Amino acid sequence: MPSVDVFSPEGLFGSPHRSLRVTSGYLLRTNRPPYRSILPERVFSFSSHPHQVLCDFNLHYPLAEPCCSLSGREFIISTRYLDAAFDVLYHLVNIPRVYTRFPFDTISRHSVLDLVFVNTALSPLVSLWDTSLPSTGSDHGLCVITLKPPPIMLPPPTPHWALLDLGAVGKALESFTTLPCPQKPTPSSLSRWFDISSTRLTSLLTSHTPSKHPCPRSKPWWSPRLSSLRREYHKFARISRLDPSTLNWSNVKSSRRTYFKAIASAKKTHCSDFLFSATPRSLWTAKRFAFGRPPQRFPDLPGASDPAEIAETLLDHFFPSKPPPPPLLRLTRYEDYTSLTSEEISRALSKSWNTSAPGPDHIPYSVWKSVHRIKPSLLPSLLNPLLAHGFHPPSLKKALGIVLDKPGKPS
Amino acid sequence: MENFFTHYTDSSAVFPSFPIIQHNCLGSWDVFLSLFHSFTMLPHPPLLVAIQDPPSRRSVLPTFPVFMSFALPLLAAHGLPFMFLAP
Repeated sequence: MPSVDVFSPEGLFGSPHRSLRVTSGYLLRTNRPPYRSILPERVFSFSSHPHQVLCDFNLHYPLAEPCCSLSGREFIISTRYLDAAFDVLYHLVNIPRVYTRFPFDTISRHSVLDLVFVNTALSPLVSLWDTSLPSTGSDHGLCVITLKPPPIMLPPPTPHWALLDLGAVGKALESFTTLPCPQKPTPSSLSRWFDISSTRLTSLLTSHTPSKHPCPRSKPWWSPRLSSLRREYHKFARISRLDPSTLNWSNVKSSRRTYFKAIASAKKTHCSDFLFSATPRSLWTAKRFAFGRPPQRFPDLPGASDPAEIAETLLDHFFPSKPPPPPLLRLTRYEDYTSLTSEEISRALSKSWNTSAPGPDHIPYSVWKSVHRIKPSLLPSLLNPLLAHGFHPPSLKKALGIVLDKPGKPS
Repeated sequence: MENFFTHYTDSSAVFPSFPIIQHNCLGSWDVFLSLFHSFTMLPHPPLLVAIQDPPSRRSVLPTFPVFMSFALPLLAAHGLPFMFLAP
């Protein structure tokens, strides 16, 4: 079976894989098992790289033709190929009940003999399988398989902290009190108390903050004028479809020209305005506009093939796991501890930049400063019980780590 | 498994998508020519065409302008129905 390897040094559509293998085949009928000219094990072999198998299998496949009744022999033959595909993690791309063979005679029925399989490495890149092109004179349909970059996975909506409703938060915080700290706590009960108290507070803050909905189609250059021009163009196009006269058609053409010219002009104006008012901070945004976003790169680490495994390997390397200390049965309260005052917290917060990267709760320092300004007794009431028992809860030991890519350097 | 290798620079930068065509030509020249002319109806021309049962004349497989053919002479000599074409 011939194969073509397509190499993409920068990664196939931004993926970490640098090659794509496409294998084509035509299985002829034989009289000996497996009753087709190529063994299933030769058609499907395990590959960690993207691999696509396009074959005229000359057999009826239950998955592609779920409504078709197969004879026992046909079922056994197709099952053997199906099992071989599933064993090495190949998926069928064909849409069930979409036929690919249309016999010329009236006796035979339509069927699906041309099948496309892809392995798990390639399946995210398969965008379309289509047989809608007109006939070429063959009794087989023309199958088009389109590979595209996977759709952008948008992050979930996040709170827009700059739009925090401080008035409503102030009213809610007036009636907000921390839960009473457990008497003679164990490490787990004190940790649970802190987690519940801090979650109540962060939930209150989040509930008074509108969410950001990032959208890949956002157009900062769009204006109400463009909306009215688009409406006008569609109106003339509708009229022209109903009454295809020369006058209507010329209206469509002129409105379309005006609309597209306005879009081009708006884009140009937005770009020049952005560059005119560019600051050293927006320099990298301008570079991204000019050169596009570079494809994602991941460091090459032995034994790690995907981002999750890379993160785990890095964590194991830099923070090797230690045997846990013996658990304390009961925490002792230190009566001579010095409690935190609201002034000390104010001083500590004043040293933090508002734009510093937040921790796992994603709440920036500017919000914590506002909360502390509205109710100065709140944060000390959360932290003092921890100091009194000399306990650092596990939730405060978590941090977000990001591996930065240095452009132009090997991983 | 026989392999033929070809090289591209950067699929994501050069090609917005990677269309692949699969078709059984039934050994017919008419079907073969009709197949390549039908590419004009596609929004993007295919980058790879996998043909099963291509036509042949005196054990020579067909070619088409702009497309490169990937097939072993052995295949044509034995009339084996495999062929690859890529631009």
